Amino acid sequence: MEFLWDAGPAEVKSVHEVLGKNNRRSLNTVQSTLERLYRKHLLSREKHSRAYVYTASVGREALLVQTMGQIADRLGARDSGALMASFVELADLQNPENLERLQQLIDAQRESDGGAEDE
Amino acid sequence: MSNSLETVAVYALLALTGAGVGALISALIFGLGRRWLNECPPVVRERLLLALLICPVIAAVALVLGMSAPGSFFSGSPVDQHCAADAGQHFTLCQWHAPQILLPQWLAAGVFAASALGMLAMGVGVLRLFRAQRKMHFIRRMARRQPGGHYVLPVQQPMAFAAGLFRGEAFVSEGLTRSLTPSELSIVLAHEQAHIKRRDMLVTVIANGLARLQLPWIGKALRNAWHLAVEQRCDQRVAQQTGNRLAVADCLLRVSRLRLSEAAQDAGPAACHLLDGDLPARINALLHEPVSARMTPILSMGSVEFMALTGLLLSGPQIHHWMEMLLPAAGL
Repeated sequence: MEFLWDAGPAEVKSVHEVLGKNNRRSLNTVQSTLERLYRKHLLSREKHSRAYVYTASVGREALLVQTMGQIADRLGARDSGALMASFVELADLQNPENLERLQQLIDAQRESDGGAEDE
Repeated sequence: MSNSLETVAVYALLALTGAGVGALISALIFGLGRRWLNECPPVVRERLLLALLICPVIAAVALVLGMSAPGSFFSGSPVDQHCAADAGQHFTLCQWHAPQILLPQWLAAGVFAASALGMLAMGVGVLRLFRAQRKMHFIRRMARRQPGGHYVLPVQQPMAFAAGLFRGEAFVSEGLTRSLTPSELSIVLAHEQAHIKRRDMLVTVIANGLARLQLPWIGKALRNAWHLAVEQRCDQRVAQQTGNRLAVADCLLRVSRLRLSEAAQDAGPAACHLLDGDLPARINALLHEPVSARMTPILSMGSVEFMALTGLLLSGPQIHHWMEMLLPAAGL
C-alpha cells in the first residue's frame, strides 16, 4: 500500500522490482498480496494489454481512520479502551450546549480562584 | 460419567456458585456504598472498584479451597469427624478432595454447558483482542515517531490516545498537533503518559473481563465507574505536574470542541458509539481541589468485602460436610 500511495498505479512487476527484490519476495508472493488487497477492496485494478495495473482505492488517512473505527466496532466503545485509552473518548461527544455550560463553570472557577488570590 | 469427569463437574459447580455469590457480594457493596465511592479521590475509588470487580474470582477460589480442604480450616470440628468416619472411602483424611457427591445428570450437563459457554466467550474475546492488536501494529507502522517518544498519525481528525497492552505508546494526530498550542499538547501527552505508566490498557482488559462475571447491569456500572476513576486519576496527575487544574479542564474542553466540530463535518468513527459521556464528571473533578480520602467508608467497604470472602472460605468445610452427608440422605 505504501508503495502504491507514493508511486501511484503500478503493475505487479514494477511493485516486485522495488519491494520484492529488497525483501527477497518472489513475484508470486507480491502478486498474491496485491490480489488479497484487491479482494479486501483496498486496491482497484484495470487490465492493460495482458497485465493488471493496481491502484490504491483508499487513501492513507482514510485507511487509518477506518482501521481505528474497526477496532472500536469490533471491541465496542469501552473494550476498545483496552487498546486505545483516548484523551477524550471516541464515544464522549457532548453537545455544544453542554460544552458551553462546562466552559462557564471553568470561567466561574477561574474568577473565583482569582478573587481568592486577590484577597 | 467417569470419576475424573464427576470431579471436574463438582469443581466447576463450586467455582460457578462461588462466582455467583461473589457477584452478589459486590452488587450489594456497590449498591450500598456508591454514594461514599463517589466522594473518594480517584486513586482510592479506582482501587476499591477493582477490588469489587475481582470479588467473584476471589469468592470462587475461596469456595473451591474451603470445600476441597475441609480438614485444613477447622481442625477438630464436626467436619473432621465426618471425614474421619468416612476414612475408608476417602483417599486421605480430608486433606484435599472434592466433595464426593454424585451430581444428577442434568446438573452435571448444565454445569459443563455453562463452563463451555464461558470458555467459548473468553476465547472469542481473546481472539477479537488479538485481531484488534494486529490492527494496532498497522496503525503504529503508519505513524511517525517523534523525538519526544510519541507518535504522530497522518490524520486530520483531532485524536490522541495511548495504545499497547505491554509496552504503551502515545499517539496524537497531525490535526490535533496543529490545532493545539504547545502547552495544550504537553497536557494531552502527559495524560497519555499517565495511562502508559500505570499500564491502564492491560488493566482495562482484565477489568472488562472481570466485569463480565458480575450481574450484567452491575458489571456495566462498575466498569463505567472504574473507567471514569482511571481517567480522573490521570487528569489529577497531569494537574499536579502542571500545577494548573483549570488548564487541564480547558484542554479537555478544547479537544472535545475540536472533535465535535470534526464529527459534524464527517460522521466517521468519532461519531460512533454515542454514550453518556464522562467529560462533565472529569471537568467537575478538576474544578475542585482534591479532598483527602475519608477513611471510615473506605475501611467499611473493604472490611465488608474481606469478611464476606473470609466467611465464604470458612463456610466451605461445613458446606462440604452437608453436601456429602445430607444430599445422599435426601436421595440426591
